[in-house]
Amino acid sequence: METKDRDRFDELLDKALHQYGNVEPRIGLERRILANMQVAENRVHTGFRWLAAGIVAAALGIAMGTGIWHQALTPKQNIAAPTLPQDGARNVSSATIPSHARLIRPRTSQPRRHTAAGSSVALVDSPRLDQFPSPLPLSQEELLLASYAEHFPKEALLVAQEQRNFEEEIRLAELDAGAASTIPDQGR
Amino acid sequence: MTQQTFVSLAQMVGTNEDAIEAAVREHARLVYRIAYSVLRNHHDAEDATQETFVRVLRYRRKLEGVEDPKTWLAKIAWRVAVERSRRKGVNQSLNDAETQAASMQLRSGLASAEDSVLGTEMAQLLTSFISALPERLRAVLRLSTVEELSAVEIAHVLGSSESAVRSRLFRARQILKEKLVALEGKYGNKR
Repeated sequence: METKDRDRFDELLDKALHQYGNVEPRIGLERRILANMQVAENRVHTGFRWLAAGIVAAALGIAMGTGIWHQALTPKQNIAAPTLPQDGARNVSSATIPSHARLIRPRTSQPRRHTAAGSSVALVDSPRLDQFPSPLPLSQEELLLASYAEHFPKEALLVAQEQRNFEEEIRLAELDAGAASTIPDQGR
Repeated sequence: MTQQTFVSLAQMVGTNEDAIEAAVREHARLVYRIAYSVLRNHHDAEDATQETFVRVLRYRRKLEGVEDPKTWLAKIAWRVAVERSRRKGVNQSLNDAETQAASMQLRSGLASAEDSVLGTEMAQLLTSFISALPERLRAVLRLSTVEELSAVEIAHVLGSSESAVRSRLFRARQILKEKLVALEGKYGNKR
């Protein structure tokens, strides 16, 4: 009797488990799966396209940035040092400066004005000047005077002496006038 | 059959849309049933089925190395369903009234010699009993309810041996039967 009950429970369990697993999907499952797979595939392709576009844009950005950086770098290399001091230690040509000393760092916002040891400003060969600022060319009047002195040196010397004497007299007269104006003040 | 399946799945890597459609038609029902055995909900089972085939698309480069695509698909479907079930955390236990109704259906089922369909409460009761099983027994029992899977294939899906699957299945059925007997005795004596 008990064994018979056990068999009945077994049968019932078989039936229940069969019913548990015996399910049918809604009609059109395959069609929906295929449509969804198509959408997923398109999404992947779209993602790849965006990725490729992003890579191209990044490459272009880097190229443009590099170009701008080079443009910013090029004029700085052509700046010559305005005047080198007379100190012989600083009279160096670009050939003797190590290459790292001539590099211009892009981070510096303002160009440096002084050359010093380890300076980042490029040094360029330039002639040493005897006079600062450089002498201007003679004017037309000065040229005429020079020509006169060259052709008539004695007369020119006399004229120069007369001019000097005249200027000396004027200077002494100005000094006398200044001394005379200060005497009454002292008397008070 | 397996070789044909492999060929049709392998062709999915290419552009043969007919092959893709054939593969989906061949395996969609199996995948759906595996998902339903875990999730016990048509909507969730269909979502899991969709996700399984999308994963197949994602891993299609590995497809050429797959020896048994049916088991491979079943394994993916199982993982997807279990992951969804864990995320959702469904409580499948019955309240007292539902349990009593289930016991009445159980008694009528035992009395009837016909292969009649069990009632909703009885199905819910069985679901709650299965949910209460230990994880290893539960997995084997659920997969065993999917007609398309043999014990060997269940073993492949779960990564265990065939003998282990058979012994776990026997143990799971034994536990369920004991619970049914206890339920029948409890509510039958009240009557």
